[in-house]
Amino acid sequence: MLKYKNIFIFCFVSFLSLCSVSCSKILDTQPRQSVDSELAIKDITGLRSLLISCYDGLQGAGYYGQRMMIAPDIMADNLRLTNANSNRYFQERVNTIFTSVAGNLWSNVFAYGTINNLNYFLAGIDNANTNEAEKRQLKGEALFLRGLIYFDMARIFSYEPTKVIKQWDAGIVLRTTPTKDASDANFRQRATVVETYQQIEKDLKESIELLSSTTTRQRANKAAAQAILARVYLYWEKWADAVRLSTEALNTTQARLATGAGYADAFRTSPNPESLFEINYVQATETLGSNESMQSLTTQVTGSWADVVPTDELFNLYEANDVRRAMYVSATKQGERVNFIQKFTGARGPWTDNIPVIRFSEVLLIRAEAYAASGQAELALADLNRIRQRSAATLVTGLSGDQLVESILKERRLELAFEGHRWFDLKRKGRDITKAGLSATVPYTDVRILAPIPIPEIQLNPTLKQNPGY
Amino acid sequence: MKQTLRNFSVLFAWLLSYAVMAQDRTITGTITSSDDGSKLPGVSVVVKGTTIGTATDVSGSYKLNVPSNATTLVFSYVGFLTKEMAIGNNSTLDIVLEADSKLLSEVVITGYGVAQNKRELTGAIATVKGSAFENLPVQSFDRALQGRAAGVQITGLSGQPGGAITVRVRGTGSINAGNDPLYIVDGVQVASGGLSGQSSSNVLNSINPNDIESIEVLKDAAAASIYGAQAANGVVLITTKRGKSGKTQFNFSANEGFVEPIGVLNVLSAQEFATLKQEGFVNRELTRGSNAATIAAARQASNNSFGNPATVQNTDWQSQVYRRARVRTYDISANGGDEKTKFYMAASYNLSEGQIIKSDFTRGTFRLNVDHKASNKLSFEASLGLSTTTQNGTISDGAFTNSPQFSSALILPNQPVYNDDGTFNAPLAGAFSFNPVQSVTYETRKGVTTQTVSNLAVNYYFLPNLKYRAFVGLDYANNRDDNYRDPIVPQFGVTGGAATVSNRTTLNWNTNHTLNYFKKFGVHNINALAGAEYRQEVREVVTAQGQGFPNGLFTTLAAAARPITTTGTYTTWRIASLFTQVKYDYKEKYLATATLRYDGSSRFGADNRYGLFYAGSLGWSLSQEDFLKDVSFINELKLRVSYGVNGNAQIADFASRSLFGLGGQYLDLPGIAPSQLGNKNLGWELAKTVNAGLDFGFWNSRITGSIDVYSRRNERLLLARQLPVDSGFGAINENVGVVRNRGIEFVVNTVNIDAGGFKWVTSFNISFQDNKVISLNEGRDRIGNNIQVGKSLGILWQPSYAGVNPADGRSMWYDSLDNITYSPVARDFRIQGYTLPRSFGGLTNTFSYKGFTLDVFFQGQFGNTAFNNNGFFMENSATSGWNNLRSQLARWQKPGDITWVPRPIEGGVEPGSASVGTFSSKQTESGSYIRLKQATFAYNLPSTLLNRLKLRSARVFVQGLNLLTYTSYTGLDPELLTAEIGTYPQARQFMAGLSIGF
Repeated sequence: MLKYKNIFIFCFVSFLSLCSVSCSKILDTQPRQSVDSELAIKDITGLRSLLISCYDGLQGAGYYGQRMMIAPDIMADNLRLTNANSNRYFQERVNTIFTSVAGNLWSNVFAYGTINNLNYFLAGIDNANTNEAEKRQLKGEALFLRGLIYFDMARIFSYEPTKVIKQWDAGIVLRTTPTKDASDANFRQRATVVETYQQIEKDLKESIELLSSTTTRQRANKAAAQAILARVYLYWEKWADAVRLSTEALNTTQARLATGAGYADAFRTSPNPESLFEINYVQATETLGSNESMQSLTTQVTGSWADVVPTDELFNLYEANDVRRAMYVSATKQGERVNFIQKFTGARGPWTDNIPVIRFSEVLLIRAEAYAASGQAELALADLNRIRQRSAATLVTGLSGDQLVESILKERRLELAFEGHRWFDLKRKGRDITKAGLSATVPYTDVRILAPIPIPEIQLNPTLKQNPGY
Repeated sequence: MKQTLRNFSVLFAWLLSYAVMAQDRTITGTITSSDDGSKLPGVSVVVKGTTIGTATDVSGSYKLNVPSNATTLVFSYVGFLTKEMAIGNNSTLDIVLEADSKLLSEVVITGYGVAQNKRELTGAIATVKGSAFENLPVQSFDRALQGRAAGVQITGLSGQPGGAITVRVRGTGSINAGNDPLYIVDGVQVASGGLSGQSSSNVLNSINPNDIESIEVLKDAAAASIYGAQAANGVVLITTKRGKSGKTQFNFSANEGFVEPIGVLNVLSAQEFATLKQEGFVNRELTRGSNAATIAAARQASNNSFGNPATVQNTDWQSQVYRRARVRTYDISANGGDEKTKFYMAASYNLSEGQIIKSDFTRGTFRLNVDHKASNKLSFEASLGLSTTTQNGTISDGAFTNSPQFSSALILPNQPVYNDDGTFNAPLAGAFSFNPVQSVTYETRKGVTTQTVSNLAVNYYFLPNLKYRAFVGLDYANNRDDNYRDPIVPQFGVTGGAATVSNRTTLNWNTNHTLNYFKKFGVHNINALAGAEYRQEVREVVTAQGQGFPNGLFTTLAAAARPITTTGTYTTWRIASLFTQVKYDYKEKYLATATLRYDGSSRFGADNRYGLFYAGSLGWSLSQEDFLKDVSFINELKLRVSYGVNGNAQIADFASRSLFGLGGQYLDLPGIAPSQLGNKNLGWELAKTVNAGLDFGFWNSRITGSIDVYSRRNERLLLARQLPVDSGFGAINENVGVVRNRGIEFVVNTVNIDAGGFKWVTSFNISFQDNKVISLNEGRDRIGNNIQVGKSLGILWQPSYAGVNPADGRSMWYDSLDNITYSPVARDFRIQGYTLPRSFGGLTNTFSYKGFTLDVFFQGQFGNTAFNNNGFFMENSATSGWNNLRSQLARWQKPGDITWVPRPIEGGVEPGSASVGTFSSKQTESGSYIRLKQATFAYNLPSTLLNRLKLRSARVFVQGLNLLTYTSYTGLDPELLTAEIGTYPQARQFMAGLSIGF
């Protein structure tokens, strides 16, 4: 029995010593889906992937994947819900208080999460182990994305610089350095809207310098940056700059105006021949599925919601021969006669379509509007009529001044329906938000023109000012 | 085998007798039990004052040579009272041993294999014996604890057979870390949570409840602190049945029965729904000031979409997905052995069909528990538990349009299930486009889990009172989930059908080594334990999905046209510990226990990886004092106090690190992105508990029970300190907040009547608890709206509903000044109640007379507010694209109507008003209930009949579960957690069964 005794003493002592001597070692574990921050972006390969995640940030249904496309139209007069529906955009269609184009953009990862990723990237790229050409290209892409996201947030949460009312000139919180540890996550005030626009302008200008014009139109490129900056100047009402930048964009880009015959097909082509910048979706990994995709929401196929259709007001604006009218198919949904748009038809696989962020025709209309607003009616009409001619619509003649601007705004409705512009177009003009007679007009002085900053953020950060009325 | 055993013991006896051959007298005899007259093998027979002795053989017989001067023999046996008998001139001594029932019932397991007499306990421990839930048709033992253990709140998360459950020991102490207790099955620390992704599941399903001898819930710090960093939420020790030496006993039981819905939602018929819809369409036009033609068109539009009220046909969708379903269990066990080797062997089969079509639970279990005593010094214990469980689930609980329990009530009722040609009517119109009968029929949601919870222990006595124990425990589970979506279902057809296969493995093992010293020095009794422990858990998941199947006959991934995703996760954590515990008592009168444990966990920050936990407790057995010894009606009175600090380590495995994680992809390139801000100081949550208790027994234990009062401060709570989201991160984990739970628990067991063969026994327990958030992150008095300093956790934060304006039928709410508002804003929200109950308990009455027994068990909870999220969907005046409850017929129709139901207006939004679907106090209701949880009527066959049938025991019984519920809650099931939405409700069950022993 003595030998048992020794064995057990040995067992016990060795277990104890294992525990005490190498305790720190036996508690070492390593995650496999993640790596420590220091390691992750040491190398250009890490930085490249970091930038990829920023494009991924645009894709979600809460941002360009759906909300940014649908909400601005349904919160204004372009779109409505079918009688039988799934409750999606239920509140937005009647502009209930606290609903907004994308108030959640402030608090979800798509916006500020991506901004931080971009800041991480921008902090590391200058010292990256790669050639100058790649550095310039990637840095330009990052600055483009930061400008694009900050501009989207500015137009959701702030008045445009020239349309401020009651001196409420708050912009958004601007960050240009990464949050590497908790101390970086300090409380910040909102910049003024002018400061915000200046930051956006700076980012986009820099990116125009850095980017080349030959890269794929599904990543940031020189023409896309010029076009977005032209859009910024349009909102800023800097007409000359808007004309200049849109002209540069149109000259730089490989995108072209689709023909009338090829219009529908353009939306099923990757990339859309009109896209200066579009977001690509791969069905296997990036589909938003039947619950969240544009296709499911806007067209009637088996398993789709098909909730969102044009208002009669919008539909009746299309002339009979307009190729864009043919983009709608007439159908019956549970006893209700409706027209379904055919811009998002699952061209990239079931429930999967690319999202055009800025198209050639929009850039033309930006330039037309800037010309019109600065008294260059002939040039404005030329651009406007390029669109109308392509669409087989009657050409506009003899208009100038406000009437011409109205005509261009109407053209934007027709051309850019379901692409997320109508609310912003009315807002940047300081107009009341009309609702096609389906519910009460939202006056421009109403609190609902600006999205509420998420309440938890206001409760947390005493220096952060809520938009008026919430 | 019986023959072999007998041969062995004869050999054994012969060897023993050889050793004592020099003696000069031989005594023989047989030893039987006073209980049932059975022969007792392995009884120790010793000549008093010597070491000369033997043990009885399998037939209970002994033969002992004794010295001529021997006068007395001592007969002792575990579980029986030791008996001394004078030898006199007898050469034959037949003995009847009295069972020591009191001793058996009062042994309590306190952790690391230490069994302690209840009289010596100083901590707060709730014990539930396996016999209390034997043959109860539950899939996991945690359900059986409901209402039977004071201070332990059990809440079903799903009524799915085998579905998930939450267990809270003395309330909810943590906000962000886990609140689950530590489960230990025969020393194996098992991983908790669900395994299957295809239906609600519970990892504890692998243990057959009928294999359980007892469950101990260690509630206060003193009892639980031996488990240190894992003990803050309490510890549940499960001890399975082990063999008893003696003739091999077989037990067989069979149960058959059925389940049926307790109730379904009372929804509008198609006629009623179409009527309300039409009103809504007309009312909408009225608010727009439309002309008569437009109004007529609107009425027609409603009829087109929802049917003409006069002619529309109704379909009762709920009756198509709910059913009466079968439940059956078979159990067989054998146990026996001799003094050296004992075994318990059991197998079981359980089929529980769910009340919703196509959902079921099937389980087979096998158990072998073996104890072997190699010598007086060396013994082994092995437990092998195996199980395989197959669950066919419905889509999980929640608001999913293809979940049958959710959608069947909400589908527009003007649509039939089948077309005229017998095919499924699909897709349906309305928000609920899935035909649930079709999608359940053509969607496979199957989870198969194979699991073992097994262990091996070696005990070695260095000295008669110094024991070394080495233990290894293994909890290994493999789960395979199959989801197949047949392309015949239109919604699945878009992608050509889809198959998803997931494989999950959990490898969780622990080992511990303990030294236990116990000795009585006269009036001083010492029991000291020291040990070390290591535990490691690794979880891996691999998932693959393919789309595009030729048809429903091809279901494997290989048949998929397009591989869609392959993904996987891996996570692991480890914990290493040293611990010691010393128990001391003086004459069993003054008792003390001290515990110390040092833990290190891989989950915590590099600078804060180790923690020291401790507890101390004192007991005073007043009934042992001279001044109470003469008070005849008191047979037990003991005071206990304890204080201790335990830890909670249930946080994410890598919560302390700064991490970059996967960041999606774009243009087929992979992305990475910062996913977490690290905190090197992240450490344990602490639970500081003070407990005072009183155990009592009066009138010869006719009345027994206990009262415990406790206060627990959970400190250094792992709270996400909110960061401004513009930083890119929502939060960072820190140890900051404090939550206090305090409460009082009463347990009373009484023998009300025991006369003339009639016995009425009552056991009652009730727990009152009070939860309060004491502090949060520095400078903050709230996190969001649901966690506020000075309030209980579980806040329901909504505006108050004020009913309907009698003048125009609009919904009204109260604003912050209690004035009427039509569109409540943030400041108008207020606390509508708390989801944590103020009290809960159970009441069991057992009546027995001449073999007949009736058990009636009530259980309930009180003072909580439930959020009826089903109501949110189904009480909005039929203004959205789905059906509503019949309560909506009380809608406002004309000026002067006083009602809570606003007038229908299509879309649900009156001009200038918030939506009718605004969350408010309209959906908060009292969640208090009392439920007749179980009633069992049984008959034990009398021994005369048993003898004729050559049986040891036989029992026939009928029982019912969830028979009656008393509640004002209007949703489906008040027992389900906080916010009822699409929850698989619990069923009513009726069972009949037979159990026999031979």
